[in-house]
Amino acid sequence: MTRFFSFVTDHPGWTLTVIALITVGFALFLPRIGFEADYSKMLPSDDPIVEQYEKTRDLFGGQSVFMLAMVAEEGGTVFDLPSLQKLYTVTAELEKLREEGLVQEVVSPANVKVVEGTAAALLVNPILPKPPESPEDAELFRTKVLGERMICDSLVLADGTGAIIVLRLSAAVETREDLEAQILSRLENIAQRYAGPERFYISGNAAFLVYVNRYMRQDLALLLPIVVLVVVFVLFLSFRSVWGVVLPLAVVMVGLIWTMGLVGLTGRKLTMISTFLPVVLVAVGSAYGIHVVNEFFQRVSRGEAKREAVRATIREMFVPVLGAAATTVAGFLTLLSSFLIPTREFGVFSAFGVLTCFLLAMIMLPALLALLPVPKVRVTQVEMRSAHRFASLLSAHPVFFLLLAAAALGALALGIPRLKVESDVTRYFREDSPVVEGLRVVDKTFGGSQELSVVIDTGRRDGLKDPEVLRFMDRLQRFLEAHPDVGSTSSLADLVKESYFTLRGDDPAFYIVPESSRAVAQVLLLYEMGGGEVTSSMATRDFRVGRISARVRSVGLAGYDALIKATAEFVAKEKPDSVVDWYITGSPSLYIQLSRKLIASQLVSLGTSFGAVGFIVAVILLSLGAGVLSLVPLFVAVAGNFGVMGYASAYLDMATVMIASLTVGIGVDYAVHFLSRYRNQRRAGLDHRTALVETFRTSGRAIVINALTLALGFLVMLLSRFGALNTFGWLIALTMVTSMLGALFVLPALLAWIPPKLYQPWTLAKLFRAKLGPAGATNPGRGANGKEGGRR
Amino acid sequence: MKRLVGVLAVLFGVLALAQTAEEILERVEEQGFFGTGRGSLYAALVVEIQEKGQPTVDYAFRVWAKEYPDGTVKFLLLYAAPADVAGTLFLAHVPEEGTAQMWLYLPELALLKELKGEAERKGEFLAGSGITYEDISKGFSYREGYMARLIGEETVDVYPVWKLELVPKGVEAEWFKIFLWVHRSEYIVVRAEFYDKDGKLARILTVPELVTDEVGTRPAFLRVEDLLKGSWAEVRIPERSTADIPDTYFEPANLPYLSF
Repeated sequence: MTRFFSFVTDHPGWTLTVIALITVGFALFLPRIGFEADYSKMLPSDDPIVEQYEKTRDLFGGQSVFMLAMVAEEGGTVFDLPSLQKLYTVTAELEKLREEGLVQEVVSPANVKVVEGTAAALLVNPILPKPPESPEDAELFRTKVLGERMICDSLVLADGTGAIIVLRLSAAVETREDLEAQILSRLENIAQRYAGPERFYISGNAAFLVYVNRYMRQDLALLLPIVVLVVVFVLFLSFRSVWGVVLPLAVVMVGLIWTMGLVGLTGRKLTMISTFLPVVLVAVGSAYGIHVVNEFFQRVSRGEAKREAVRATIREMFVPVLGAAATTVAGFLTLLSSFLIPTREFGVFSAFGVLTCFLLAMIMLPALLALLPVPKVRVTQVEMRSAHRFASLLSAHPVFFLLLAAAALGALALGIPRLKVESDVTRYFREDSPVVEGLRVVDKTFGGSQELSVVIDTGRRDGLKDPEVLRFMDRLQRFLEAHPDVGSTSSLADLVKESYFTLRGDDPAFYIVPESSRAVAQVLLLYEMGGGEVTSSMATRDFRVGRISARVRSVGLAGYDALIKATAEFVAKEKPDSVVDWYITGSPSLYIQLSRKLIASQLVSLGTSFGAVGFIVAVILLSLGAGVLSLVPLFVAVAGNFGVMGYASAYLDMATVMIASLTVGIGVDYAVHFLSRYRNQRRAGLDHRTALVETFRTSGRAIVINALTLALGFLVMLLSRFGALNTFGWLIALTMVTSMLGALFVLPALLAWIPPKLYQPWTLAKLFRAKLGPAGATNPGRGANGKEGGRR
Repeated sequence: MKRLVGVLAVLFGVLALAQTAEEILERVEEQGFFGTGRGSLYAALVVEIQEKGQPTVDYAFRVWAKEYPDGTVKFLLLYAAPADVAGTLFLAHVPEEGTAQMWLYLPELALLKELKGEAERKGEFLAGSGITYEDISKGFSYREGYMARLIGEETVDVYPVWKLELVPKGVEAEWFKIFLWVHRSEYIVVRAEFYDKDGKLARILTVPELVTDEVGTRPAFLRVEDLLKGSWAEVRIPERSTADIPDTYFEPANLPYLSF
């Protein structure tokens, strides 16, 4: 190892050339980075709920829709001639999307076919044969719409205040986010051109995904420069030197290129979770460079020769920085236990990034330092006068501080039962997002923009034509429509009833399902031969499997769960024997599945991270007791985090679910730094109080700077376009502060009661480490791991 | 003798090439979809449809067709399978010019309805089949909407064919371009390619096998592939014969009373 580092400092040019080549290699893959917003791809493809979702997509086509709602001007209606003409013009423009193959189906009041009958003939035609030209046409449109059960209050509101156009995507387009973005741009363009006095709103699950994609890109472009500025600011305050800013920043930026290059190289895409990977890396990864630069500056300021100062810096800093990096890597790698693919990927790439920053701090920085002229260093000596005061208080009243911490923890823990899980992607947006505005309008006036489907399988060809099955579908629709969170519903039963009613001369007594399968089959045949189409979204071509669709408002997880449970109970109880299989699918059921797994995943990753980090600390500090003690502040921080989330009504979602594991991985450093410095002081013969004073004076300052740097870095996420990331940002910033407080106040209070032998290194291990050299040697002025301070 | 054969071959070849594309198209139209333009005939059809991601469905029909002196072709189609629509009757009167009239009789509901609206235009005869009412009733009738050009002679499978290129006369045509491969002696389309408005190949029709029955030569079956939708339909003609069909078969009012 020593020979390797000697090579680095002896051949800085070669070392930097190799690093530059590797960096260029990774940089070549940066353009390959794509973005992924499809939440169905966040769950493993072999998940049964995902399998059902995919199966439904294969059977009935795409399940993604865009919605364009047109709201009439105040006091007007869409039945007014100018508004109606606009509705037809907009529909014609949207039809072009279908002709271009971007959209599978455009369902608009202006093009939807209605069944009309006379004594001798059956007509399946659009409501008006051509766009309206006169008030009479508009009046005819209004009359027909109000008489059509399948259109009134579904596509056009009965009071005429609004109309909606639904664009259903094909399965092929549904998986192409670039094409979905193209469709949304066209919709936005149309909405902009035709707005006034009518208002247009865009919604639908496909729109949400495009907005997620768009916001991810905007976040990346905005947050990365800001977090870099924050780090530059902190570095400048710490070092008051250009090189003090440039060198640690160089480590982070090169590490970032390697990490993001790896993302591109492996063909992975950035998700809503991994979008903030660069922000996390800049905040977390800068610490390693800071340690090395800080140590080097201190040495040259004491007059050491440059080359010797560089070598000594590496010898001193390798083990402690390795320790800090190892615990952080372990924290990120525990995310591998998550079922969520984006979370797992985020964990792996973050761990790689941290490891890269560590290696670069150990290799690239020494090479640069060896190559550059000796900088003029002004080392700031800030005296922590409060160190004495804190130490006196903590040593005199440990019980008080423990009780205070226990009381605070208890109070926060009371908030934990209030914690709610959320995985509805529509709730991840900020309230001021245009997508949320569209969502509110569609939810309020058109009955929702989420789609829930009940898929029934009769197990035989033409099974859906069984009147008993159709009546069950009809009852299920009525049941769903009676639910407050459900808007309109549709199924084959609607179509059969409507056609039969028309065939029988609009006699209300015949708005029923015909009595026999043959009669149903012949009604459907007539409907199709008359120009109608039994859409593939309702039934498979052999009429074996059918779908009952319901438009559902975005009511959040609890609402979806209640609706799905009630629907499942109804189906189980009411379904005829001829329905041999059934399931409920759609975005709400995916959200439910995500949430269930989120909770399980949270428990596993939390347990794993505590275990792994505790083990690593025990190994690094050569003491099981020290390993356990280092977890105490983390316990305070994690439990406090869940309590705060409960009180603040912050949801446990895909982003916030990672906070606990990250807190353990990153926050443990404060405890490690504090503990190692304190026990060295005790081993040097100081009593508890004096050891605390020394520890506060040296490590305390570094710990505070370290925590504040991370907290400020994470607070940058408050500027994200995602509400979920805003919450993540302030919560993890808070845990950085609480884990710091735990290390500075709870740990010292505990140490007053614990016998030193419980946290001192094992004798054999101590002897072994002493042989390793200066980094492992005990030094009263430094920690057992030789660490000068925490991250700064 | 060899010289005579050679001269005759050249002569017939020149004569054949002398046929214009319009004349070839006219002969193709006379063939109809399954020979409907040949006086009175009876045929049995089996149609199999496979849409992308959907199970295969099949239908069976019996068809009676008759050409009237004014050029109108009338045909009656009886659904033989599947069982739930068996007995349903579809009647069409297709004039030489103008709009066809169509009726459907539903035996289970004892209802006779004339079909109007979308059905008059380009509606599919069977959903997902890619075969339109016009295809069924008029066959390959492209002279009205397209200009044809003879672009060469080829061999498709074992059949000697002419290759025609059809381009639209007006902007309303469904296809941007059509290529037809027409059997040089039977005037049967053995292959057709349809290009959409973007110039992309969208549909292919193939006739892999020809058979001869008492009426003449005809396709044993034909296959229509919709390349954009990823679906296909196959129409088999297991039986075809000349028949003396009473006019009462083609009277809408008689449909409820016909028995087969």
